[in-house]
Amino acid sequence: MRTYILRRVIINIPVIWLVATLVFFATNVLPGDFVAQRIAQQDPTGGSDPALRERQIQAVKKDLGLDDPVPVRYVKYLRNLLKGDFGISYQTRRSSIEGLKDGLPYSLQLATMSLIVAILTSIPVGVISAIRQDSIPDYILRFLSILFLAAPNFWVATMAMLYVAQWGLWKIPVSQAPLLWEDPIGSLKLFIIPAVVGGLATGAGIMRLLRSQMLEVLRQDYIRTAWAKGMRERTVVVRHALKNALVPVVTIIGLSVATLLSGNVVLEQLFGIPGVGRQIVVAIQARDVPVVQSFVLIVATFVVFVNLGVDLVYGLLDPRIRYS
Amino acid sequence: MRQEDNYWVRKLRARRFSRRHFVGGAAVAGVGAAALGVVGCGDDDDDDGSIETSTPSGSATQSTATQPAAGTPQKGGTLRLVSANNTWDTFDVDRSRFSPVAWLFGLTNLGIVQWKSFVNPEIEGALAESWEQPDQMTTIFKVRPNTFWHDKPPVNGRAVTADDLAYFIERNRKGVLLDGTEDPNFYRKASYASVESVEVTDPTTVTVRHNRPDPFFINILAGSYSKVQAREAIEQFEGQYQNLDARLVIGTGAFVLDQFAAEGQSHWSAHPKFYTQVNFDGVQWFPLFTDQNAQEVAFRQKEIDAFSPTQNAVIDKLNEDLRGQITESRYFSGNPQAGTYYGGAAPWNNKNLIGAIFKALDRRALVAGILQGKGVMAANVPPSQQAFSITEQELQTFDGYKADREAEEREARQMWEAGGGPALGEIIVDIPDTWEGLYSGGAATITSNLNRVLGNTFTAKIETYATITGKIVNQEYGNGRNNIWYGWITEVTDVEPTVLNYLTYNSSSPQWQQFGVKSDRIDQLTAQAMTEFDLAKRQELSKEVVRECLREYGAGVQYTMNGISTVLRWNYLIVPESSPFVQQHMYGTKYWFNQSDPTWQGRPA
Repeated sequence: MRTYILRRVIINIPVIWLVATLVFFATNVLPGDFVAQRIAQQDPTGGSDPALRERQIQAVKKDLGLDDPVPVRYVKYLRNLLKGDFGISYQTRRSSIEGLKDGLPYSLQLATMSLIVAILTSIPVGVISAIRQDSIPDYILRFLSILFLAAPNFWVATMAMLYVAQWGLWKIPVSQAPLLWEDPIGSLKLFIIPAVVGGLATGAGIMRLLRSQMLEVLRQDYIRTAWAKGMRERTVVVRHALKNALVPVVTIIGLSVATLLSGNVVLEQLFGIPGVGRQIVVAIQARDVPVVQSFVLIVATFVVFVNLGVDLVYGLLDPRIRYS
Repeated sequence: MRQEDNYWVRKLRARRFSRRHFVGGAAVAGVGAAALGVVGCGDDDDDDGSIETSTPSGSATQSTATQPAAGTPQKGGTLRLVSANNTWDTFDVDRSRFSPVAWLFGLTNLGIVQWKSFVNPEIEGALAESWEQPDQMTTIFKVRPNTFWHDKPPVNGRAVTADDLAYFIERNRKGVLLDGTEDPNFYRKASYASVESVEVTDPTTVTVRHNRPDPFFINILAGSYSKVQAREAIEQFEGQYQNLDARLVIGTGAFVLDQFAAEGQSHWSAHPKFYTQVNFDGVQWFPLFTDQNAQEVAFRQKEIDAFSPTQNAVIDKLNEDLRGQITESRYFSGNPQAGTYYGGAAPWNNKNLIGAIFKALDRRALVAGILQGKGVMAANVPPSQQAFSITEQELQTFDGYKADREAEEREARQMWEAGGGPALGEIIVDIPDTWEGLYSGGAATITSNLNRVLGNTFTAKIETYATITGKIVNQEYGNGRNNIWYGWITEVTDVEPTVLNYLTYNSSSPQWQQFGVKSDRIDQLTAQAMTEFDLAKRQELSKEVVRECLREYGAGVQYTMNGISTVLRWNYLIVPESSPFVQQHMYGTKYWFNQSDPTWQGRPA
């Protein structure tokens, strides 16, 4: 097992390097660099002497290191990454990951709450829907899952937020965005809507996969044997069927974690949650290349290690899976 | 100009709102940056909308005109606004050019003088209690007594001296760093070119001698970036200003910056030693980003005190739900919309061709389609500078603005054919990505308008502003290329257009090279205005420039329209005046919370 983990970590390193290289070159071919873009937007038709403005642009570019050729910048970028230096944000002039660090607790909280909602809803619903196949509860639950899958979550969240505010159900602290450990009640008032909306949408997909896996597992001989031995339904379903049905579901949950953490951009924007998703949108629009590069690299690294974790979980669920 | 003569005022008043006052101003709105929620609203009196001219900028006399009374300002409360998607370059305001920095320094730093009123252009003393101009070559400032810096090291709350004012002028005039290096980032250095010398003649007096008459020197000192910083702060922090730390901002303004986060919350508290009453306990900025839903919810819950909806449906709903509790104010945007071209060579040196495009653009349809009706047709002097422009009635007598669209389009086609337009083939219209992002489908509206009227294929191409600006500077819109562009142009940042008119249209100005449309008459008018001290005469000269530019089909800049922004605020927030310009210096002394107003109840502490 240790050898397996070590081998996987070593293989992940070139994967991460490849991602870093791809994102570097992709962001450096974006049209319009940060400096020229911002100065141009403020003064497109030349309220100042064009020659002077060009000198100003060159001075700022030099300050930001944008005057070097791309290959030179690439080498510097890799060298800095090895030292743990992700670069300076053009907008905020702070370390490019500092803003991401500030936003991470919010995105983590939203992702965790969404995931909890997704798992708590999808697993029981998937199981019930499978064991009561073609019954009225099954039809209702499948209908709801399709509804949550089909309805755009940004629309559902917008409606929910506006109606809560208009009807005065509770005050949503959009301007404060407290975290759970800062103000548990206030935080729940803000995060509950996006967590439920996002969680239900994610859970709907998980539920459908789990249902189909359960149906397949429930038709296996060993399940029939378990019934024949007189085991209780709960034991048959939970201890025997569910464990085997969960293997592919865990894969999907693992992918969902990565997706949720990379910033539920839409929900963060709607609710004014200062998470990483919102920050990355700002950075992309502003051509704040160091922030975009840092974010993509961190998420890519996270995804590869989440996949490693998912692979290890397989071994827990299915003793037949062993890693050497 | 009387308000009832104004077509747009009549149109706006026809809509039903609880309270509304139309002022010739605009929301502070930079491209890509959300407006700060608070812009003021004029009182609902029945003034005739005329612009007072009792305080000519640059004149030797100061105005004694007062604002209409709006109750006695009460002290208390923290003003809460939205600030989002801002870009910061430096906390050295002398070397900044980004609007959010001007907003921030408007709260924290005083200038030598400042705008008392933008609606009735009027400048008052700030760090200078008074000033006089005994002749056209001399300006003498008297330092205001009992003014103190914020209590932050290394300035530590000391009193303001005449040396502070002199240092500020000299630093901007020279445009060099402490080590003597010339820094092109002193963006306003050229504005101080008329300063020959600055002398502290006694502890309370600063004398500035000019090398030429400069009618705009006082305007420059009242500018949004003209904020005095302490010498010792610059000496200590010059190499650190790009770090954007709250401790670097030390001023004499009404508010002290306590906490700053570029994309997070920022907080100011009232300056305990400000020279007059500061009405708010503090100011808070929330980074609600550009999402309107979050802002709407925050506004409904009184978490923010003002809100600028972009959708008419949202405005209507809020006015309906909160009738009698909120006030709506409408302002002209600070960003006029226009297309530009280079007229110094073919194809756009052909007046028939460029006139045809000018006439073909259906400005009324553009206002209705792109701005949802929230806009006005405009010429080169936008509505926010109405005192310097022709009336709306007169504007409609010029080509491109006439009501008879059938005749305009017929004449446009004739001009286009006479100029050989059909032979040009495909014409590329560059559209900024951010403009198209905001006005989705706007590019198609423009090109289909031109296609229909002129017959050629006008194709939209989405480009970044960096690309467009580069092409403008390099004379690439024309000059052998069948290429024009359309979008937002340079933001209006001054009360009067005289300097920008000179820079854009006078053939001796470097900026004119970008457009290259020479008119002897415009040269003469703009040059004359630059040396005219009398405000009323400058206004008339400006109007003549407008007329000439219209006769020249824009003279390189084909203006079309100006958007109108809406700001909603709770009735407890009293704002005596609004403007399209940076007005944060007014927050502490002219804005206040009416805590007796019923809407004050329920506002979170």
